[in-house]
Amino acid sequence: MKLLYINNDGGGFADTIEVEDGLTVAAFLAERMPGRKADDFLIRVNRLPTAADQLLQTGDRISITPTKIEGASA
Amino acid sequence: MLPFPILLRLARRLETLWAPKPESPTRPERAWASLRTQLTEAESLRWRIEQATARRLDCATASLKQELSTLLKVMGRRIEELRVNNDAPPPRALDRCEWIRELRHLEAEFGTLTVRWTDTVIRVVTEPVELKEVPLGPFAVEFNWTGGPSADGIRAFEVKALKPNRPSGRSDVTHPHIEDDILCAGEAKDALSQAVADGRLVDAFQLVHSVLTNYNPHSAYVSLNEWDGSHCAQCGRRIRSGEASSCEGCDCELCDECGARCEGCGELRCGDCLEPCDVCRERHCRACLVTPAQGRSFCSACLQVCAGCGSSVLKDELDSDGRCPTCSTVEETDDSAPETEAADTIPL
Repeated sequence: MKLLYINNDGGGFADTIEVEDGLTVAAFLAERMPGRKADDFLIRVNRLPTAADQLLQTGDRISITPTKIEGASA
Repeated sequence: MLPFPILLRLARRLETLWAPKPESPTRPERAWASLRTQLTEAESLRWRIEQATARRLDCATASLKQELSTLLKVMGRRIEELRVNNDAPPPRALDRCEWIRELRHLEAEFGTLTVRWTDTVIRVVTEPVELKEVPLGPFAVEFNWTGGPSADGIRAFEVKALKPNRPSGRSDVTHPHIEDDILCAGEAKDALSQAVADGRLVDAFQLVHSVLTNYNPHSAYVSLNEWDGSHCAQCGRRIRSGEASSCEGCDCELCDECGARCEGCGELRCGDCLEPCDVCRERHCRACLVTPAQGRSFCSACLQVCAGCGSSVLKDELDSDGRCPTCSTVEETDDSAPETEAADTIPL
């Protein structure tokens, strides 16, 4: 199934990707961001808060934004 | 919630600004034209190499082969550029409905969305931010939409402290990573620029929020350790604003565990402004201690009146009858005189 995947970690990425059917949000995160904790991200599916066991559907918009980012001093 | 007519007006404005510009046809055409010219030149070189080889002109052959090799490399790079350009996905156009969803989503994430048309600014307010027990207050995050997708990411944002808690001596800093209302996005810089370019304003605001609510001690305009600018003069511990006391002698700042009160006047003093009375050893401020040029320092409580002569004497110099040393000495002398006369009269 196709998803719009927006990853705001690192340099930022937004594109349509192909994933297997029946994927949950938690499984998607584990696949795309291995070793990272879900608590460190703000995850939205179709612009709404989501549960880890929510099943992704074709055409879903999933965005992942880190909640802890280090700023700097210019 | 932003009234729908305002939301719609804003969505139209943003849709216009972020609409993909038609790609200039000239640039890829020039690249194709250049490739055609290079191909013609490569064909010519190949024919000349064949001619030179047939005539056994070895030096000319080697030189022409080198020239063809260089030209083929250049052509290879040009072909790769054309391939990348051909494969690049078309920019995702956000229609008006998508912009309305984006703005409503922004409202849902941050609670309130404000639009200032004259300044072309969209504004949200964060919750109060506290980093390492230093309260920094809430921040207004303002995005200026004038630059559209070409806006330089973080430069399109201003982050203003609404209840500023500035570090001592730095009126331009309101957060470890904000100077003159500009946030230094650090690790979020690239993602922020991409989000603005794509019109993903919610993502952009959330990235700003993620920087605001995190502290990088290795790269801050002012370290949080030095934020309040005050440390206890005695133990060195950082003192929060409003919790410091000050020595009434030298005005240095003291934490709630340091400092002591003068036994004489009760004023709070630091350790350097208190000295012990040489008699009672209780600590007094300099105003409550008499320090003669010679002799011991004493407090007023340690000065008592001699029961004999009425002079003021240090209390530890009085005898058990409350007499000063002089009076005690005179009395001893008087006591010893009658005993001598009695010895003269004793019969043999």
